[in-house]
Amino acid sequence: MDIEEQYDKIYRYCFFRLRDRSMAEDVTQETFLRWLASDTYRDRDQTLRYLYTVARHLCSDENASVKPEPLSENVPARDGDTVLCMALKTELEGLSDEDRELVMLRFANGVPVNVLAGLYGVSRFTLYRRLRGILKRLRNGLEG
Amino acid sequence: MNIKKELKNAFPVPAPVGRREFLRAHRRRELSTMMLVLTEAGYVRLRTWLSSLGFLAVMLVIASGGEPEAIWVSSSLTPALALMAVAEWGRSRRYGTVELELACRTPRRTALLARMVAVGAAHLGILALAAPVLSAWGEMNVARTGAHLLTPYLLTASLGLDLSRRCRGREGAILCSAVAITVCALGLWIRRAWGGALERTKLWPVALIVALILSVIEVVSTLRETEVLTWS
Repeated sequence: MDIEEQYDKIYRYCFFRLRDRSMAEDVTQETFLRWLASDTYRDRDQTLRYLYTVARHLCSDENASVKPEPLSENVPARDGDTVLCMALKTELEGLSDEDRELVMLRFANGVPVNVLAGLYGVSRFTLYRRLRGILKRLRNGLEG
Repeated sequence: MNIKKELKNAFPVPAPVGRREFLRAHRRRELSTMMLVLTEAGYVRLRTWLSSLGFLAVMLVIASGGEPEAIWVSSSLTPALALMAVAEWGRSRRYGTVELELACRTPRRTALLARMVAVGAAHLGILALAAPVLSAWGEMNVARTGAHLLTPYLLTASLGLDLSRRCRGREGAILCSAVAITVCALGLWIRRAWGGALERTKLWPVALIVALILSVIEVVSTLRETEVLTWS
């Protein structure tokens, strides 16, 4: 497992949840400190589940104490953003927080479905169905 | 339009500042494979280890007699050793210890493999110790003595693993015992029926290779089945 790659992905997840670069980095480092202190998790999927579970809980703790700021204030638009990309962002804003988080984890971070199923406490089939539904909704929104 | 590809870039983040310094300053304590195997070895029953050592003692006593039949008698004992290894795997399956280990430390598949390695390595060590002693007091060289000891062991272990996957509980245990007894009797019968002729042929290396292939297939199948059980 590439630690640097996972660091970036956990950081992206934390930033998505906290909407603050400094807090996201603190929570990412705290997550990795906890993982580094344990010597038990060898399997890649188990490690991912551990990292995301810890990050998720830490983000929830932070969110409970700090009022989140709007995402747009912290993320400048990239030069290469296309019309499609902007439309997609608008469609993503229309999703529920949990659906948006799921899309981010699955498609931006590439978290395996079995890890996500464990994280959300649902079966792989339920998760597949939910992801298919979200993608269909996004496609319809972009085409319509 | 490839929406999945677009989604990959739909969540931009500012670059992290302290990543490199953090990862350079902190290193993970890895659980080494050797530590994992030794930990799993600790879960194996004491009586399994003691019985295995008992088998070694019996083989050495038989070898010390200097009888030409010693290698055949020792060889016919190895299926019982293999039966112990299969029983150990069956025990973790029956009482769910592998699942418990899965929940707290490592994946089920890794735990199972480590357990197989722990018991199998100990048994191979016993056979490796017995082979030169039997060879010194007997008529065969070390390689041939090793093949005589290893073939029935591997044959019993592979058939036992196959049966333990197909039949559960008491029925599986009885069938595995029957296989061990059959292989044991087969070895003695081969010696009695074709003993001299067999010594001159290249049959034992061939039998050893077949038993080795069978063992690898069975271990892989058992690990694969473990994965299927995890999914279901």
